[in-house]
Amino acid sequence: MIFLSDFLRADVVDIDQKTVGSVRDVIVRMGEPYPVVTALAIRGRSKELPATIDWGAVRAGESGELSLNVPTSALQLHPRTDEDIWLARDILDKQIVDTDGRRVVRVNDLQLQDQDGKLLVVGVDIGARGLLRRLGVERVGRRVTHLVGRDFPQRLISWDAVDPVRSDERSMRLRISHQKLSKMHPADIAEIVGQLGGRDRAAIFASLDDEIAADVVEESSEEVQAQILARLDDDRAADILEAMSPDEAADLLGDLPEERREQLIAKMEADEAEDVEELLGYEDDTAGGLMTTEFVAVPVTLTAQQTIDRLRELEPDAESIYYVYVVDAEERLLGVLSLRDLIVARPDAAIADIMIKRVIAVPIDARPEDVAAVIAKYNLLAVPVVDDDDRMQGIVTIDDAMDEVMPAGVRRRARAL
Amino acid sequence: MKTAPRQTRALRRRAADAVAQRRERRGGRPRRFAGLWRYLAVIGPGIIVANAGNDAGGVFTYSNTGAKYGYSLLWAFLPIAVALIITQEMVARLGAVTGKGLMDLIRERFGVRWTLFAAVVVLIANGGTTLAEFAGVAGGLGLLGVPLPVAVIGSAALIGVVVMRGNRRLVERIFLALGLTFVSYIITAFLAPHLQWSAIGHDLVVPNLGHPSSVPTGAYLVDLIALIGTSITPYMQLFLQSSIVDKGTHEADLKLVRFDVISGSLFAVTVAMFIVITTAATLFSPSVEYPHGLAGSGVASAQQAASALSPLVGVHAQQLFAVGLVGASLLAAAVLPLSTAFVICEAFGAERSVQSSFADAPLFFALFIGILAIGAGIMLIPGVPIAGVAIGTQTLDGILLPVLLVFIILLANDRRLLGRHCNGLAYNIIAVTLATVLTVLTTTLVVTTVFPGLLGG
Repeated sequence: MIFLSDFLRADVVDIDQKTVGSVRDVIVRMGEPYPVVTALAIRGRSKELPATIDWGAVRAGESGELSLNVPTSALQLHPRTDEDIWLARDILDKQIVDTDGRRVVRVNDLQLQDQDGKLLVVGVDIGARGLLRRLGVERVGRRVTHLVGRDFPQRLISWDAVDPVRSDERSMRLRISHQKLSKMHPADIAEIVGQLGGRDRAAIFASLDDEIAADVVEESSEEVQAQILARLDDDRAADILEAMSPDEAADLLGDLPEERREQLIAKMEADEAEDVEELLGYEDDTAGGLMTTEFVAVPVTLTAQQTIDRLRELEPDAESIYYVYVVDAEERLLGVLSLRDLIVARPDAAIADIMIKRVIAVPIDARPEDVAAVIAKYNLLAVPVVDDDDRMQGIVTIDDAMDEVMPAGVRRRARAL
Repeated sequence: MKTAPRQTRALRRRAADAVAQRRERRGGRPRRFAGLWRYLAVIGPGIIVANAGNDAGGVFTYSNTGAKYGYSLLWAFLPIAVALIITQEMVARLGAVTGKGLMDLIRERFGVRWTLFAAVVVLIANGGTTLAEFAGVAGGLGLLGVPLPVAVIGSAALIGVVVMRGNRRLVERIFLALGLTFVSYIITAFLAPHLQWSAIGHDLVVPNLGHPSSVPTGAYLVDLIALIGTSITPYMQLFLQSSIVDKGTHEADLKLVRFDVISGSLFAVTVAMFIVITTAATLFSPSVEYPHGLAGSGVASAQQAASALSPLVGVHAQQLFAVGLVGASLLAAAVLPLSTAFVICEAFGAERSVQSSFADAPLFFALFIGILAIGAGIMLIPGVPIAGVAIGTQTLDGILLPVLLVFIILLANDRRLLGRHCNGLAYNIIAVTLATVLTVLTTTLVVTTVFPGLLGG
């Protein structure tokens, strides 16, 4: 196996066996599926030598030495471009996202492979063996593990499965590879984002579309949410907030300084802004603070078919589709229908006849523990929240209620399964 | 279902944080005040970290300085304050702009070999500081009548529990609260009999470079290095940058961060100065001779150090001192091994989380338990002098600080990293001077120790 560390600091000799200098860095161009080595950066013996030379001038690499197929005098400067990535400077020792393992790892070494005359970057070494190789004591490590009768395994992950985290100006160009990231589950992206520094985080968010970014924000802890928002400009932040469910957006906005909160709300679409502002009015530790205003309520006069048509029209979110609440003209809660009730009912049946009239609801100032207890007791997926006049204000979904009562560690662990 | 991936740091912190916030909410605080807390959260790390410097090592070192030298070393606090502010500001700026920890940056910028070197330095310095914290716990609880083995073993066990179940934000707040206990030194100074303000003012601004004849040269150097080392600890720099990164402080907040760092540093140095002034007023006697070595401490015991507070609280001086000392030391002793294990694992990309099993994160647990066990273990050796250990480890910090400082200076000058937030010339001059002074002092110390006759010590 060839590794980047074998190249770094190796001597470079020309066709006449004259020492040119040593390898400072290996330059690649991003390619699909693997980056291709295009040039070497040389730490030269003399000032006249080009600092970067084309890989084409390199004949072969033997132990600790690279020989060129041209004399020193014929060396051409490899023109530097923005496409260039310097492996040691830009990738080695940096954090990288392992999209298979769904975690952030550090690049201890890079595995190179010769393929049809091209040298490709095929793998990333994230193991202890790579570290020891960098320190020049890989052999010692191997001997020690042999002593205890074990192999010293390489921990390599394929370049296919990594997503370089690049936060400087070049990150835009790497957007293609961020597609891998955006195909991951938002909860996994959130976990990765939580492990990264601010700049890297901003780079990842720049490459995600609003919907996915909103999901990622929702899946992140409140601490990380605030950090993410601090790094986004107002327009983008408002776009992401709009894509979030109103209760999550309100929770997040509630934690911001008043000034920023108002700026962001002002930039949001009027509808979403109104929902969020209404939710912000409730205290945090009540059903009102917990609920979302996204739910489906229909007038009691409809038939089953009309109700289903209404659902198609509204396209409600996943978390609010299971129950259809039935209200009178004053928005007072009269009954509830499950999706199942609707589907099995005859199309012309009046929903007033098929709805469950004894609706379990909680008052708007109920404590979160009580809301959770109600949901657990009656095996609900969501419970409606009503005000003093029995008017429906929102729903608390089971996931939000569980968040309130379950120890956070247990919850997160479960999510990782 | 797939198999569970290992628990990560982010997960754990998120979990702990969520629990804390839930608890806060249960308190029924209305949402609109949350904004204020967030705002306060941006400022904070600087103050907390600077006051973490006033831990066991700090209190003993400052008491020692006052008891042994009177007011004659007070002048050192002005340059120390400047150096502290400069150092902390660089670190805070690195954290805010890059969003990465100090060890992370060292790894990314200097590669594996230098990272290993820095990790070893950090390990020794923080291991030493942890030992000092256990000395503080032993000393403080000793004043309250707890036997040393019980105090040390009990607190090590307690720390294990706190680390597994505690949450960081709460720890930080307690840190801050207990650090404030030492403000009582300031009040005490005004109550102390025969305090000579004119002499204090004079010694504060007029450098007194010679050392008193009652103290040999080697011991003087040890004390001076300890004074700098405990005021500007390597550990503080790592912790400050991590806190800033964790808080998600943004480049745009740099002004606030500076304010935080400067006010925190000034506050910490003020408290430190008053510890020296108070102990000087109560314990200093020019006629006492101090031999070289651990036996030559200006304060031989926690009891003696505590007596400096007697003008304020009389017979309760022991208790007040003990509470502050135990609290600050216990928390630092919990945070130090944890954060040290953390930053080292992070730099090497090793698995790190208190929620993973030993098999998943062997390096993390080995480091954490190792630092804790060595710190507590050394204190259990019969006859170990508490004050001597606390002060000696601060000398070690002072000796190792320049290494970290060089890394910090190089990073703060890296244009690829900081762009327009690079160091200015004045910064570099002050920071390099600090590193040089410490290196010269250390070299002189080594030389005078090896060749005692050389400087007429």
